[in-house]
This record gives sequence, structure tokens and C-alpha cells, in this order.
Amino acid sequence: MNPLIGAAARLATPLLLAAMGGVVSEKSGVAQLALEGMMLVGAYTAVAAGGGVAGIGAAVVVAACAGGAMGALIEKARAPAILAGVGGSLLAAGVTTYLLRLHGATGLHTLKVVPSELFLALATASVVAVSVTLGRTPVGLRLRACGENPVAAAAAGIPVARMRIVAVSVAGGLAGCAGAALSLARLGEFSENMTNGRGYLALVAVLLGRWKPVSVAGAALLFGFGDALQLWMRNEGSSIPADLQELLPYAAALVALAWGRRGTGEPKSLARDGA
Amino acid sequence: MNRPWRAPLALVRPLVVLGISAAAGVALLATTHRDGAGALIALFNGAFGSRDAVLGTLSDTTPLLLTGTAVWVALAAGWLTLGAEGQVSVGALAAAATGVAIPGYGGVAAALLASAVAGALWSVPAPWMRFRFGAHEVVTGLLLNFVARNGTRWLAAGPLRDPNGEAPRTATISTPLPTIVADSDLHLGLPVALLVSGFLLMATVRSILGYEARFAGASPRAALRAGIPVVGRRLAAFAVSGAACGLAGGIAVLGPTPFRGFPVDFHGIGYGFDGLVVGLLAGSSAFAVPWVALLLGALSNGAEAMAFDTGVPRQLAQVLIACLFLGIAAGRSRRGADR
Repeated sequence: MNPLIGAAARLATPLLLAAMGGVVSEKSGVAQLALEGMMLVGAYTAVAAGGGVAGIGAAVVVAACAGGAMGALIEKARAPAILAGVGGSLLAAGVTTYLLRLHGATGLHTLKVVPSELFLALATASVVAVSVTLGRTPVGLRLRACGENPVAAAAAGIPVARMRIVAVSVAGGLAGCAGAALSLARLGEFSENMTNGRGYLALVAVLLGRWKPVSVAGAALLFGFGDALQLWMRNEGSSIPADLQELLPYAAALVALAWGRRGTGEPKSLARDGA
Repeated sequence: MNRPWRAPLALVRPLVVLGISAAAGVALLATTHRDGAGALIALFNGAFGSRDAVLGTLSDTTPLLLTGTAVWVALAAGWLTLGAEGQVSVGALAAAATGVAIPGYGGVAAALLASAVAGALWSVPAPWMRFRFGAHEVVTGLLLNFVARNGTRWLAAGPLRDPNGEAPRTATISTPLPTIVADSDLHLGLPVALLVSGFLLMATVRSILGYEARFAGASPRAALRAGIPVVGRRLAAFAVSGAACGLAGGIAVLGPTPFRGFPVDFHGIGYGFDGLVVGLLAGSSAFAVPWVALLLGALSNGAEAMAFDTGVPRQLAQVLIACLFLGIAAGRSRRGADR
């Protein structure tokens, strides 16, 4: 495989997984700004649980529980989804850093790294699974109904709140797997705030892909390719400062948000306001 | 619309939220440390236990007064702003650059002005993109934070870097803000922040322009019918909010300690997100803003001392603040079945 393409796929993997979680949650009508936090939880848990496949499993389970709690906070305590998401991300950053500091100067490591191909396979599977489930199954139809018109969905006998809590929990599981990909794929180490905004980029991929799983995956791959291009340019000794190169995906996302407004796919009950 | 001056009653709900989040933080502390009570005592003493502790708390409160006011003013005009962190960084860098370029107290004044203007300018793209393209200000605000992070890092490490310094940062400002209490680091930033914050809160609550901005934010259609230039008023409110954030950053770098210049890793200092907590926790009451800012300032100052004395990670404060935040979120429950 061309090394650039390989690097792009490797760098896009966490974004792909988290963005699929974002699609599931937002399609059910819950604005999803907690991906960042749930990824952090996953990244921490994967290493703390000793790495390997068991680490991935633990990351998925713990992050899914965090997602479930987030969903309950939004649907049962009726907290505005945006505030709950941002608050959850702040809490995750605080708790994981707090726990990391308890390990002292040695930090948190594991020798059981997992090949990035496994995570890429998981990411690909998640795209197919989310795409098929949302588009072609009764469960997917009900979930989308909750996002489009929750009142009608409830009248048709769909338990809207439960559906949404499960959706946010699934988003948590996928984001947790994305976090595990960050911490386990190469280094086998958890460092402070290691997601570094990737959860928010995943959300932008969801918006750019207009909530369609395959398009969202395309957007995530594009971000991964941008990252890979940066690394490649740095290796080639490019004269553009690294800070400016890192800035590009965010600036590109801003431009794309302005340009990509046309089109549909946004779940109608998705209330991003509500503060 | 609610009455923002119902002062004492409005403090009750924050106190309940405070109690719950304190319990959550203590639970985390109890599971990881044997002497949890000792750590909490160290935290309190670090915040209020001595003259130095109180002065330190006031220093830490200063930027939160401004960012909290910024978030509160924006909320009053119907904006949820998550771009405060970036506005703080941009304002800080503008102040550092101006302060180095112009010596003397004239330079300090110019630097404060520059920080407010830079913060205002940096804030405007988010609401503009909302009106022009329908892109949500929460998402664009977050993205602008990353652009601000990398942009300021590049400028401070490259074009604006101190040529004589070892660490990558801007040159040390020759005339910092003067201290106002002998033998301490408490500087003129606090009275400036109090004045600006008080003025902005009063203007939002009591002036005609403030009324129009709140009306435009609460129900844009009705406001438009009433002849209020909705887009203009809401943009102005957002710009004012950005200016206050920029000023918070400016005061932070112009003080005699700890920076007195702009270090490359300034972004992420947390004033913006803490301001979000202040603005939201104050809720409908403008009167509560300075008190909540004081509370968070005390928490962050006390946590520093606690980490030093007992070895409990100072992130405990961040956990407490995040719990507070989630508590407020649940307290601000949405009305109606679904929107």
C-alpha cells in the first residue's frame, strides 16, 4: 500500500469510529458534543485495563456506560444536549487527568499494543453496520423517526427516550473504541488530553457528511488524509511551520461548513439550541 | 423574560447544585486518597486561609469575572458561546504584542484596548456564519478555538518571538500592570475587570440597547415586529462578549506575574470554559456573576495549594467544576415535550 494512503487510513480510524457514533446519536435526535469526552474515557480505560483485546473491550463497555449516563441526563433530567455534551467532555478530561496523575511520573503504559489494521477493520465494519442498520432495518427506521418527529414516533408506540439513551450509549461505545485506537494502536500509552479535539472534528465530519454514514466516512477519511499529508510534508522537510499545517483541517472545516449548507439530512428535532 | 435582579433567591439553586457537585468530587477524592478531609482543608486554606491565599484567590477571580460576564451577556442575547477560549488567547496575544511595541503606561492602556478589539473581531465570524450560512455558532466557535490555538502558537513561536529569550514566547513587557496591594501580585487588573464587568452587566440589564438585545435573543420574530434590528443587536452583543474575553486574556498577560508576555502554550488556560460555567451558573441573575466567579477563582487557587501540600492532583478542581456544569445543565431543563 502507498505509505501516504496507509497513514491516512491509520489516522482516519479514530475519526471514523467516533463519527459513526455521532451519526447514530444525532439521527436519534440527540446533538452529540460528548464524543471528545467519551473518546478520552475510552483511551484511558483501554490502557488502564492492560491493553490488548481486553483493553478494547473494557474501553467500549466503560465509554458506553458513560454514554448511557449522558443519555439519561439528557432524556430523563432533560438537560440541553449541548451543555451535557460539553460538560461531559470537561468532566472526562478532568477525571482522566486526575487518575493519570495518580500514576506519578511513570505515566500510564501497556506493552500490549494492538495492530492498527484491527482498528481499521473495526472502523470499516462500523461504517457498514451503521449504514445498514440505519437505512435498512426496522430498528433504524424507528431510531430515525425519533430524530425526525419524536411526537409522532411516540404516538406510534416507539419509546423515544429509551431509544435515544441506547443511541447515545452506542455512540459512547464507538467513541470508546476510537479512544482505544488512539492509545493502543501504536504507543500503548495514555497521555493528558490525548484526543486533542478529535472528538469535535468527528462531529464536524458528521455535519459535513450530512448525517449519511458513507458520506460522513468520506469526510473523516478526508481529515485523515490531511493529517497524513502534514506528516509527509514534515518528513520531507517542508518550510511551512507545523502549527500552521495543523491549523489547516480546522480552517478547511470552517470553510466547508459555510459552503456545504445546501442539502438535507439534518434530523428535524435536533435542537442545538436550548441553553 | 425574567427579572435579572431577583438577587438573593437566584442564589439558592446554584447553592444546591454546588452541594451535589461537591459531593461528587469528594466521592472521587475518597476513593483515591486516604486523607480526603485533609485535602479539602488544604484546599480551603489555600483559597481563604491567609492574606496571601485571599489575594491569590482574587487574582484568579479577575479573568473569570470578565469571561463569566462575557458568557452571561451573550446568553442574555440568545447565544451559547463556546468560542470564549479562543477569544481569550487572541486578546492575550494582541495585548502582549502591543505591550512590547509601546513602552510605558500608555502602552499598557493601548494593550488593554488592543486585547478587547482583537477579542471582539475574533468572535464575530461565528455569529456571522450563523446568519449568513446557518452554520451553528457552537460548532464554528469550537473550530475557531483550534484555529486560535495554532495561530497564536505559531505567531508567538515565530514572527512575534522574543529574539533574545530562550523559551519560545513573546518578549517580556517592560511596564506591566501596577500592583495595588503591597507585597503581593494583585494588580490593577482586578479593579479594571470589576468596572468593565459591572458596566456590561448593568448595560445589559438596564439600558435600552441591552433590553433590545435581550428581546432580540429571547424572541427574534417579535423583536423584528417591534422594529428592533435583530441581527445588528445580536451581533453587537456577541462582539461585546468577545471583547470582554479578549480583555480577560489581555489582563492575564499584562499582569506582573506569572506571564508578563505571551507563552506559546497560553491557549487552553481554561478561562473561557470556566467563564462558561460562571455565566451559566449565574443563570438569570446578573448579580450572581461576580460571586460565582469568586467561587471558581477560590476553587482553582485552593486546588493549587492543595496539590502542593497534599499531592492530590489539582485536576480535582476541574472535576468539581465539570460536575457543577453538568448540574447546571440538568437544572436548565428544556421546556415542553420536544422542540
